[in-house]
Amino acid sequence: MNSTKIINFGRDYAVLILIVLLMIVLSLSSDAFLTPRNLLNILNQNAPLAIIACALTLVIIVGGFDLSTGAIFAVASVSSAWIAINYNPYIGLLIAPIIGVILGYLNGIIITTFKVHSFLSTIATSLVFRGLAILITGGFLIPVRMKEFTWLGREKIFEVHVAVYILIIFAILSTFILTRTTIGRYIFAIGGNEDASILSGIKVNFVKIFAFSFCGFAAGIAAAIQVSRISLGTSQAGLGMELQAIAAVILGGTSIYGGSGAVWRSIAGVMLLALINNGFNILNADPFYKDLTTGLVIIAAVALTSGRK
Amino acid sequence: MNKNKEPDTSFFVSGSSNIRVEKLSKSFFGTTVLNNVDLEFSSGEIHGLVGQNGAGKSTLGKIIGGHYQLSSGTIYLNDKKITKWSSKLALDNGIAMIHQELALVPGMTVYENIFLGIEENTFGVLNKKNYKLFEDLDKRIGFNLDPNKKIHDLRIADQQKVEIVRALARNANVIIMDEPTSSLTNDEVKKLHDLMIKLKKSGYLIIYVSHFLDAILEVCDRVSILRDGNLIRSGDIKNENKTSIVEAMLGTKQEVAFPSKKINAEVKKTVLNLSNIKTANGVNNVNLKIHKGEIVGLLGLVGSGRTEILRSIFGLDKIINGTIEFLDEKITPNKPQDTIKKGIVMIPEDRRKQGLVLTQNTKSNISITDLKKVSKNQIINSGKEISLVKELITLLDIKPNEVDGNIAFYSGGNQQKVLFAKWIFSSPNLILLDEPTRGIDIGAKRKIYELINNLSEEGVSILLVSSELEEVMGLADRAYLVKNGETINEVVPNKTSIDDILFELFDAKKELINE
Repeated sequence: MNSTKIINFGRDYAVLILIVLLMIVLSLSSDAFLTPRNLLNILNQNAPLAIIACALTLVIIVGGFDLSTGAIFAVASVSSAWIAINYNPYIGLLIAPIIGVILGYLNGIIITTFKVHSFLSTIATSLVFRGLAILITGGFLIPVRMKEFTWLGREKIFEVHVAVYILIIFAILSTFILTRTTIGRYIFAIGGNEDASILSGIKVNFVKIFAFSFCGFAAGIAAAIQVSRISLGTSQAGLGMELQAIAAVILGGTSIYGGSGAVWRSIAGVMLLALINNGFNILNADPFYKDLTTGLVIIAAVALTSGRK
Repeated sequence: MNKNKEPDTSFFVSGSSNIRVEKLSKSFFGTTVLNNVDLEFSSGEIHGLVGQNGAGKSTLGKIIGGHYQLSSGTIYLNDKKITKWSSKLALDNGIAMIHQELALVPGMTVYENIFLGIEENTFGVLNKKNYKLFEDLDKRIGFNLDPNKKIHDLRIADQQKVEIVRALARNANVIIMDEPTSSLTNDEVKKLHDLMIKLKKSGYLIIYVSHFLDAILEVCDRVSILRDGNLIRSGDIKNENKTSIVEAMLGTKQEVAFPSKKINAEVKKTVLNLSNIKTANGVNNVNLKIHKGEIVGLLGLVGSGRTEILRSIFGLDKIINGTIEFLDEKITPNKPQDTIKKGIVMIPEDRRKQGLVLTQNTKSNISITDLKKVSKNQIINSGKEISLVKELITLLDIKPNEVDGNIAFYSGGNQQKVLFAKWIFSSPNLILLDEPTRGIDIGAKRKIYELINNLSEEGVSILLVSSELEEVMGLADRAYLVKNGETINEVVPNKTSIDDILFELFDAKKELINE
């Protein structure tokens, strides 16, 4: 009775348990780890990925997949840089999330109109979007060295990077949508049982389109932060980011089958991956072992979580 | 796996098996489902397990079949204490279980399914199909299954036969059947019962878990009655009758009857009027009328198009021809979300697949049909939501009475109540009700009947479909006979007998009337 409670607790909070274990190990092995500076750095560096993971949580709970977030990220990045140079840096930053929403909306429309599984359709759109990004740049890099543009990724307010505030606001927003609004309720219902949702009169297509648009929006915000930080628009931005984001969401304990999950879990998933990375850096460990270790930790988390509803 | 295990062709000669459980207990997540049960099953008998939903009868079957592990207690097989137990070990020891939800591979053939896991092979390479083995098995039972048919092309009843042959192919001498008749027609039930008796006479032990007391009384030799996880009594069927079993199941003396309804004196106002409705999905020519506060039944055989009529009204199937008038207004239903807005709702027959979101709690399931009622600017007011949901939980007597209950673990009856609560929450004018009491126990059934009556007394109109004729006869004010997607006749239940209706529906197959 008590042991089952412990097992259930372990399943529910596997990702947090691993984070705590890793933090204990890292702080015992290095003085540089448990400092506000290092921890804030980790948060700041991973803010773009974490923002995408927050929104992707909605898509995965509704029962979908978005493999195009990396490509949306690229289109938003290069458009942002291009407009910053040719028109205005502020409009450049603002355009990124707008483009994100448009591309995410397109994803949603394609999925609901043609009734294709999002896994397949977003692989296709990711190729289209990536191609679009290459066309925008003409194959060149777009450097943007303007203070009006780079502040978003580099400036600090009260010793904390702007990106971290944006992440916090975005995480709260995503959580609020998911847990406090009608559309959040519908997202859970559709992912849990689509047939029942249709019979309950839920506008299933509308909700799915919303989730994908929101995910695109997040990729756009993430792109604005990143392009401003590295002050360079490149069509290769965000390569592989979609898989990292999905890994983080699932690692956090959101069900891959849809119907259950939480935004904080995805952020925890991102942080777990980030801590492993950070550990290798501050311990000066052989980077050859990094992928191997990351893979083993993911397996451990999955093993702990298995059997969770 | 190997050749030694090839099905015994002399299938009526089988070893005997006695199973005894001692102080058997089982709990799920802290809820006790079985409590210190002592029971004995011996070969050559059909042993019925009865009880309300949640009484633990299915769980007991599943523990013996190795699908669940017991929490405490002991199982003896032929007086030998069992220490390790799983579905594979159970099968190896000749105990096979046939589930309520069939466990076949839909894309594979009958032959492949029957020998799944015990294929004859040479170092892992499959041998040529041995149809003789299959035929030997099939002939003795007389099912006449086609070994090359794919499972998904078979009707449920035939799929069940495959399950039974599969158990026999594994040399099972104990067969546990969990609600095997819930999707069978009367004729098929009769055949299944004949087979069970045949098997019993050749020394098999059959454990028969069922809600259908008539079936239990007809074929069982012994019956064990469970209530709330406790064994009430176990004994010869001769000493029992329907009333005595129901009393033991319920704990208190209670009649299996339909609540009487106050006659509505109100001027009859037509709520729904269908004329000449035709769809692509099996509805050919339907004419019917429902008045305010009236319960109207659809009587017909499985496949007659009853459910399809409901679907067409709800906007799930496209209407090709005919008109629907709802509250004196012509409507063309094409999407559930639109019909729901008008006040027409459908309570589907399959609560797990079409009705409930099992990953969500009670509250979210109930309020989903009308979140507008408890939200402002799309933001949910959870205090208001909880208080409205609580009212419904009390009204319907849903157990456990928690707003954040995990409905995946609720009993069938309580899940059904949640399903009703969900639709009452949206305050409908017309409820399309499909099989409202499928697979639920007598106590919950009564509650659902009362609820249907109360709703109609409050002015809600109900169109009722049920395979249990008694249910329609007991509840409905009027009923239509449906055949081949057409409404052929209108009857008033208390002026007609079930026999007459059956006679008409079955086209004079009189022998089917008295099971």
